[in-house]
Amino acid sequence: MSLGCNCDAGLSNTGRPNCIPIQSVTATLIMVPLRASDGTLNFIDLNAPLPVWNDLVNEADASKRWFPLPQFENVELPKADSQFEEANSGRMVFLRQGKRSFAGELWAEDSSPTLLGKLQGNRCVDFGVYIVDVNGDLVGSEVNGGLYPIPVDNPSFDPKYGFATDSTTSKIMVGFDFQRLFDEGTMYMITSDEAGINFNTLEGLIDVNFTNLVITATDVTFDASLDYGTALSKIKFKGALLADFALTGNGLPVVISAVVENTDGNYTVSFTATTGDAMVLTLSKDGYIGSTSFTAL
Amino acid sequence: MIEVSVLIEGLVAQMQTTISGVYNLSESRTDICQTKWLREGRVVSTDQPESYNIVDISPDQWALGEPIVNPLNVMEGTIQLPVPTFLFGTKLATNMEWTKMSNDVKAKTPIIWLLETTREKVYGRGDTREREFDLRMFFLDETNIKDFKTKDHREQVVRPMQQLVLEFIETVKRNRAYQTIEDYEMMSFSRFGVQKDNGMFQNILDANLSGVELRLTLTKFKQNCKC
Repeated sequence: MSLGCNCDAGLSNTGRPNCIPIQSVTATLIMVPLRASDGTLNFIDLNAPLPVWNDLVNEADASKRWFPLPQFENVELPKADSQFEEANSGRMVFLRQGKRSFAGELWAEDSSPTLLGKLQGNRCVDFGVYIVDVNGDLVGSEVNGGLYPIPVDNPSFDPKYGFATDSTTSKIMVGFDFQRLFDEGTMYMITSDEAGINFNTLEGLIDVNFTNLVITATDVTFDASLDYGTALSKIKFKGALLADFALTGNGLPVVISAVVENTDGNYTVSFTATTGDAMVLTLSKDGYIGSTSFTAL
Repeated sequence: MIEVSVLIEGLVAQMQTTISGVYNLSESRTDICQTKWLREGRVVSTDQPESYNIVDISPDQWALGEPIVNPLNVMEGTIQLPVPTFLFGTKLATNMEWTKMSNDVKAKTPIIWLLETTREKVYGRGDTREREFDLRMFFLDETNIKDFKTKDHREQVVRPMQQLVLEFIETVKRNRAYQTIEDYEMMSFSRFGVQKDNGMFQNILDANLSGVELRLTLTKFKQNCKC
């Protein structure tokens, strides 16, 4: 345990083999809730086949989902000085390590105030991060055969907006502290070669909103758009097909007979349902998430 | 340590060479919000499969493509742009290699040419950076010296080649193994050749080309050993 000392074994051995994989410059972070809603910890089981990484990003249960952030610039991970008690004689006794902080900037097209709004809400969730370096490797905390997200002191999470100036682009400046008791000696990584994916390529889900619902006995027509865009015109969610939607009535699956995109982002979904059924239309397309509820006529 | 030409060739291979278009029935043309280096006189393909000859274009708005096989087909969906040919070497060597490649200039353009020689700065073990390269690259495409005025050279060739440069820069930005490029220099020329006060008197490559020169400093991060 690097935070304290090991009294049983004396000094630790310091030999090292050749070719030790080491992490490089931090490129991005993947935010993961520390616990799922069922109370279990979220981690990668290193004794089981590796998961399908894309499934973790598209996980329907948000408490188990991975939330990759865009690529950071100017990342710094400073560590505060360790604390010692110093006697009058000048002798010092170790009390505790200083906290580790993160500071990074999301630039230009990654610095939308809409994204800022989404990030600001994360402060209330107990979460950790997997660090992704520029080589696409995933860094976490290895404990008892599991690679866990590095716990973040979530009340310290502070994304801020920076306006563009004559010589600088707009930015979202993200800062937070890691949990005070995190042992950095437990950090291990899964390389992009081992994982079969460059973790920098993972992208977070995009929220899709269903608005202007017009419900008839056999179909529902609505506009689908993203949170991003202009105040007057949100970006339309275009090109969805029948396979990209799922429908339930009173909790049971309902067959969708047709999906027609009438104009860009305006869809009609046809089905057969019983009057009064509580219907839930869900998007089931990789990279997107959204749902709406209505009562069948 | 990977040789610089292999690194740049890898980046060129990672460039996104497709665009997407939606056919506009009322205007009988294809709406394309990002035309990249698409230009008049080029043949592009779609996944229908069909090839189209581009007969008119309004950059970043629309393009008019005439089907080559079936006149009833319309250009839409994913459109494959001409894939750039990567060259590396001195003027003399590149000209020889490029000339031997094919007699059809259209088949071997546009060109992305990394000029030899390159300067590299190698960083020590205390740095996360592996190497820094000073590069001179040329992005070139065929031009029509008989009929084009300077404005035509600029609109029909230089602008598409500037878009090709931007795509290359975007590719570097997407690849986190390289440091984000902050600044770079672009020099555009209507005719690619040796110029004097009395005009252009000699082509550097044996073809009539226009385009853009890109000068940039590219920094690569160290990667893990594989032993």
